[in-house]
Amino acid sequence: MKSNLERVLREKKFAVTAELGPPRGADPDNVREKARILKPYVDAANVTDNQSAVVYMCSLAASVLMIEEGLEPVFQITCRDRNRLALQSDLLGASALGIRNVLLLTGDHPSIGDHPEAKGVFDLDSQQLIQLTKKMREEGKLLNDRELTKSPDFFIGAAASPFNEPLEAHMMQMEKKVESGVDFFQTQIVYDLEKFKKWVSEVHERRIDEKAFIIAGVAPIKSLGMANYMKNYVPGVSVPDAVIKRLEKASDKKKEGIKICLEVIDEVKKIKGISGIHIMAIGWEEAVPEIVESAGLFPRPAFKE
Amino acid sequence: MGKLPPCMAACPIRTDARRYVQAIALGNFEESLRVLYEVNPIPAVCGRICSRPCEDACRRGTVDEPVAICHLKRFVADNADIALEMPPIKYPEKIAVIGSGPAGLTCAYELRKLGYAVKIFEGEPFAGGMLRMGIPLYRLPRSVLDKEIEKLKTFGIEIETGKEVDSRFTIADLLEEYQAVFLAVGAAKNVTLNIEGVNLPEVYQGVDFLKRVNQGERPDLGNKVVVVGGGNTAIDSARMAKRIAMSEVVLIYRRSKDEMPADPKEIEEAEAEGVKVMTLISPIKITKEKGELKIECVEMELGAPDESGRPRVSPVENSNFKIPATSVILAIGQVLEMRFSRGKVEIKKGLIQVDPATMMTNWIGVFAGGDGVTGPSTVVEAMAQGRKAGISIHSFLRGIDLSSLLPPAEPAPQIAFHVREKITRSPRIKMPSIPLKERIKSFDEIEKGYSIKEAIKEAQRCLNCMAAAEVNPQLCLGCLTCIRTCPYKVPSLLDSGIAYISPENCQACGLCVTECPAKAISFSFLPEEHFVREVRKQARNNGGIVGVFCVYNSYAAAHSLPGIGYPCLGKISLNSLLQSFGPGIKKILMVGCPEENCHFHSGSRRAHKRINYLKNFLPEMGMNENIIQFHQIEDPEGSFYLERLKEITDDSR
Amino acid sequence: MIVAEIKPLEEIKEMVKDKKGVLLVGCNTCTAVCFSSGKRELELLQTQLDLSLENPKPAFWQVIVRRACEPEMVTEISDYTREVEAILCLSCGIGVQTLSDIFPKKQVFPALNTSFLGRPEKLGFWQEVCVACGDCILHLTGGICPLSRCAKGLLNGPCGGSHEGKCEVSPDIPCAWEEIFTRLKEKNQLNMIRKTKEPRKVIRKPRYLLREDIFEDEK
Repeated sequence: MKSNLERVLREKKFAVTAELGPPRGADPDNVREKARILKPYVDAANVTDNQSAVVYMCSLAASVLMIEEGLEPVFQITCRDRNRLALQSDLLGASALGIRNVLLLTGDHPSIGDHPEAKGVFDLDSQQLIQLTKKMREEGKLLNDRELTKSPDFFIGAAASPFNEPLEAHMMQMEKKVESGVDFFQTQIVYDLEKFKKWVSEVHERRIDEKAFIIAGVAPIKSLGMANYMKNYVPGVSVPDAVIKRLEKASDKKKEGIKICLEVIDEVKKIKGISGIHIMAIGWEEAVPEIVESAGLFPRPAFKE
Repeated sequence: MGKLPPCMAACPIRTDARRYVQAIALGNFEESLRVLYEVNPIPAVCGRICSRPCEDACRRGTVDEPVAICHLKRFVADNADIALEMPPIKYPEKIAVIGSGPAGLTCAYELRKLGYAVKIFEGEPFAGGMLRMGIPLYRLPRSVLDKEIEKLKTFGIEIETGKEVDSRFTIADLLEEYQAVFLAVGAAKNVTLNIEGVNLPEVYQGVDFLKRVNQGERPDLGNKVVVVGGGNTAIDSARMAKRIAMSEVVLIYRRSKDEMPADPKEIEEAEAEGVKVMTLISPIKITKEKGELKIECVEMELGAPDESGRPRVSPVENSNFKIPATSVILAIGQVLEMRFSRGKVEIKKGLIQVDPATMMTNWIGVFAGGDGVTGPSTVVEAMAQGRKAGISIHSFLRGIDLSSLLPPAEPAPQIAFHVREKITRSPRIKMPSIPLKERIKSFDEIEKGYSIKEAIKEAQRCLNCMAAAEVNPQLCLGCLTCIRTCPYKVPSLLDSGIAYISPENCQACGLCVTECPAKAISFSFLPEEHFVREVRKQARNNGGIVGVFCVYNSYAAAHSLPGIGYPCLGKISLNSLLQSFGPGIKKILMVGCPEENCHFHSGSRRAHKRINYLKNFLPEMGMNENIIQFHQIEDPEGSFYLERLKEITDDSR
Repeated sequence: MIVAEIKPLEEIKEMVKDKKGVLLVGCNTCTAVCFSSGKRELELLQTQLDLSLENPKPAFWQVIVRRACEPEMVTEISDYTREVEAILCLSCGIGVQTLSDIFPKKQVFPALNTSFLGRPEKLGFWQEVCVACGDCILHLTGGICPLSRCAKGLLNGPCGGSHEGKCEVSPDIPCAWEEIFTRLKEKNQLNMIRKTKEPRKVIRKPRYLLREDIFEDEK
């Protein structure tokens, strides 16, 4: 059965996803609470996998908790903490537990996280993981060609980096991911619309948008400090000076942050080749309903079983 | 035997100029003088009148200008004082030296050093020979000469003046008492021109003229003096005449200026003092008409070179002209003074004949050298003859192979262009002199001598040729560290995979020595242990406080600052620095130059990095990193250094 | 070559402080070149220990061998076995193990941390450029090894952390994949990386190399 997200996209509806960061703790209610907030407003929500190489509740468990709350997860899985055995078994388990969307990532390097001495596994990389997942889905085989009793059924996602230079190298990566079997991309957060548009036209030129859905990442900025941090320290995010200046001037930074986010969504919606938005409001999940509503993306489409 | 520093190879008496100049550069004047006395009995004299072949050879000349080696020699000879210890008499043989000019003195000195009893016999009432008779006062004050000769007496050289070797006192007589005789009788007799008028009373002979003036006579030369000749005697006579008569002085020479045998510097100075030099002119007759002298001359033209390599000259037809004069000084050449009784000694064309290899005459046991053998030459050449004869006499008396005592000297070749380019330019320090106008008013010495500051600064221009770092091929790993470290890009890798440092290009900065991970590179002139030893000594004497300064940075006080003067702090290795923190040390102060001023480009920077590295691990050793205080600051007078040193010393009490 | 660095002095002091006689062994090959095991460093370390250990401190001896990894080249050490209680070995881990095997009755301490296989790029700067993976792909990556020079050792980079030539791990580290991309682009060989490379096929286990034609078991 197709995932909700896949159906929204295939029906050419403008998709909305959000991000759900699992807690640093064994507390299921935290996940449930966030799921309840997000559920009416999004088509699916990504569950991050030890995001930024910092330890949180595992994304598989959090995904299952979400399913129990009726919110469809996009299960994120990285190559950093698992070798090829663990990656395959986790994917099989995820499918068995009812997870239908996966976002396959290389993962941030352990040295930038909270256990910097941890061994980064990187037995596979995201390209190979995408190939492997597709192989399991299409051929019913493991990496070593052994037959599966049942194939997992995943809508396969990957990350895209519109703001990383050189553009050509990263564009090549995207093309390779499509070739390996990606169904949809979620991009890094967009603030710099000019750069983003240039990137999309390049994607369009290469007809990548015909082979995979592209969901643009957006995020409300909560404070000036956060804006500066993203500008200077988050790889692959470009925050234009104009945005910083607007926040500097604003008396209510949060309100201004949401306003900027809405303006980005407005622009993004108009760009040909963009199939949805992915709202990354980790730690500020409460802002999602307001954003979705104000952006005129509420209510979300519903499908009969 | 390796190649010599070019200055040393060029010096006829093999003065180790590099070593004495380097000693001055470190502020070590007495050491410098000791080096001079290794071969030179009269350094204060040479420091004034030497023809300086060393400077012509100095490789600094290819960078900017040669080091003022001669001025530096004068500086130490005038400013340092060491007692010459009388060497013990080791051998029973005694040697007689006839003549106390530069050749005689040097021969006697050499033999006395070797351990022989020597006695000099001098016909004149005072010792010194041509140094006293011929050299003008304004170039060599006689007090300087007297002092040096006195010093030689304390060295054990006996001098008997007023003792002519003549028919009553012959060489044969001498040989009864002495086992060898050295004839250093000079060439003080003028060659006269064979033309009409040379015997007129207004016509003087160059050497006689100089001798008389040097002894205090002031002949009346009138208002126009003509000097004939192109050698040093001619120039000296002209300049002396200028001082006596304050009149017009014209020097005429039969060839062109390029062929003049006189020291070019002397010619230049003579012209500056107002001596008019006319070349390609030869006198043919001197007449006296109505009480006025007329010198009839003919113009000359240059032709093909003769056997001596100089162009032949011949008179131009119908070019006769007359020069009026009030007096004439003839200085066209000198030969052996025949006053002495030659005995069996063979003499040809006015010169004593010797075997050039041994300096021995045809008479066994009788040696000769100096102008009497060579004809008029430079002081240092005469000294070289004396030195060689001394060594030869030793070889003769002891039966030692002479060639082993006089090894050939091969000078280092020129510095490679790419290295030369990297040497910091620095102009030669001018010698302070009496202003031109004042000079000709007296017989006072023209050159005043360097100040301490000037001398050290000038000495520090010395490139320390051939004091190179050396790779031990047994230890070298071929790791390329030296190649990457050298600021002058001197080291290279041999095909065998071993590094090679070409001694003629190495600038002796010492950076490869301190960085080589295998310690395969060493410096003979400044071994690593030296630093630790010096620090320990200083610590003992100064209650554990040690100061170290860069002599290039604090040059003006390099001779007087307390503590250790080092020729660039980059030469101090990490380990020797750490070793010096051993027992008894409270604090080390190091003051080096700002990095961009470093004499060796990167020495100060490397020292800085090394000290930072050291400070990083001192706490792990249970030591306070403040045990070492390091400053990089321009401090020519050493005042910053002294202040800090005082501060530290006070703190430690 | 093998690049290593000297351990923190505290650690070394702790190893040798109670020993009566200690032999410092230097190795004159790879690690000497990176200033960790040559005579210069050996002497410095002995000075450090001499000046910082408390009495009664060990007596020290020094020996430098050509290659500490070769049993035949370390025989010189036997001359000291009577005097020394411990051997402080300034060599890579290989040399330390050779000495441990040859002198089983002595305590052999490693004085170095063996860091990586690298090359000297500049005076005093060494860079890891090989991981001895056993399956060289340099011909496919423009002569730049991604396994050692990409922080994640990716076969199909660059990752999203690469930006303007720098790695997400540190701005001091260049992105190997961008270097590979640039180099191949210059050579007009981008097709070398256009296809996703398969996961590596090397099995990780203690490795050995045996040349059948040369090997002789001394029995």
